[in-house]
Amino acid sequence: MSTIIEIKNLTVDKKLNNINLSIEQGTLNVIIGNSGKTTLVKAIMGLIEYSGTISYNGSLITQKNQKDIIKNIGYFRNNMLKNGTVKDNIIYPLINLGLNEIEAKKKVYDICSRFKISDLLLKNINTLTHTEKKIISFIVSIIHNPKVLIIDDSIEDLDELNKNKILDYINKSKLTCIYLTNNESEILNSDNLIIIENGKLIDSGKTEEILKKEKIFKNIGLPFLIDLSNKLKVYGLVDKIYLDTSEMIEDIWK
Amino acid sequence: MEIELIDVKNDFLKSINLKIKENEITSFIGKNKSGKTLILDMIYGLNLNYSGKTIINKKLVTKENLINIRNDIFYLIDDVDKLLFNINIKEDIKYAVKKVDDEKLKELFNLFNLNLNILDKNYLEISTSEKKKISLIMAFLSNKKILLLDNPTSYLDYKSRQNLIKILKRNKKNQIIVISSMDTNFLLNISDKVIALNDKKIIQYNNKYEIFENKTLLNKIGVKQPDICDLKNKIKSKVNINLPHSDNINDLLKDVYRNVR
Repeated sequence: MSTIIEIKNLTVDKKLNNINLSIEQGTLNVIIGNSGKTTLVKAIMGLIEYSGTISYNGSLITQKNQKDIIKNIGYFRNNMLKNGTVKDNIIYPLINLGLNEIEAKKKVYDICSRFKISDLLLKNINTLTHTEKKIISFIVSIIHNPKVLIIDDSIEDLDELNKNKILDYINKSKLTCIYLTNNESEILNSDNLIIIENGKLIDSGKTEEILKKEKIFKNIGLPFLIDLSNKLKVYGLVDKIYLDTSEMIEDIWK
Repeated sequence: MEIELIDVKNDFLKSINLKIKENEITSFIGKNKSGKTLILDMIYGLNLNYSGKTIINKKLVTKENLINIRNDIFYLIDDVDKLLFNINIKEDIKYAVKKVDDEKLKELFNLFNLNLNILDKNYLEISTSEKKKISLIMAFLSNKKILLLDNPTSYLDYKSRQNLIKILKRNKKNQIIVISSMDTNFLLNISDKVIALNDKKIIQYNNKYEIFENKTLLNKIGVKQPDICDLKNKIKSKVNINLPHSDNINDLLKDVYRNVR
């Protein structure tokens, strides 16, 4: 696997303290913890000043190349839509990339039929429900086929159908994903887990490995199955943590 | 005190009849766009575009009655950005709550692990999670008899969710609490009544386990089964053991222990 984003000694005044991280291509990375997550992402997107370095695919991000590099990154966040119609919002990143109108329109119609939101195209953003805004925001963030997707919004309040559409898209496009969340139940879906508390990197690495360190999760909380495993361990009913419910049941009642 | 919907009909709902009572937490579940938020909007009088009646404390919800009706209601809308627009958070809270009880405010800030210096900040300077916490604090400071909470747990961290559960359970006496949410783990824990929306109709469950333990039905309405119920179903199908109902992990744990020993 190759590293797609590498962060070295990243410090942002009062918000982040000497963060070192590398994100591997094609992985799903969950970032959890009380504060510093969005600041980290803003630094990657070049939206705030920082010290330290951030590289993309081996090249250092500088003021000069920053605009070109972030074209490879989609940034899905709360409140990102601009006043106007749904269509205007979706087509804007494509026109910005230099696509002609016919190509851009075709892409917009394709994605809308894939996500079954064609009926919303001509509606004004202000008339959408909160959920519709979320789905449109997601589409705006991936319409230009980025290599990396940053999710800084809660997708756990979408219904199963909508949530699966998003997860399905991420899987099929082999996107490298950086998913910021406060909800510990989202951890189980990730390859790698990054914990940032009070602006400091507490731990990062393979999710399975980090989940074994129960104490780290005191404030964050553990996903249900891991929490249950730990509690059953105390009762002497199991001797390890489980990532699979059926396996756990078979071991308890064997 | 009660909320009553009588023969409510519009494009999204087919003749809804419903009573919501005090001392209880009533939860709505269903797909996106199934009408959960719509019903909260109707109770608050934000949407009056339907036939039938909504009655709150014997008062009919009409355009003329709105100020009167809203005196008793705090509505935590899903889009928290719309609740914050003043020069700083202190003013936002004052605007929403009118009479602020400082002691209670401090206690709530503590429970949601917020620093008091946020009061002097502006909504542009705080995170989405902080916005959510502030709007929940407004709801609990408002002392309104009716709380309408749309997606109260989204953006919240583990500890804040635990404390939200505590506050809701403590507050529900003499209050009507109505929740719309996708967070079924949370709903299993706190709900007294559950109302499922499907195909423009409602099904009311006075026993929450009846719906949360029914995976087929939950799939049909696009809602994830709570972890505890999912585990119980799997225990039943794998080793044919029927554990008692439980809505929290500690009870479940004791049941498993008793059964294995």
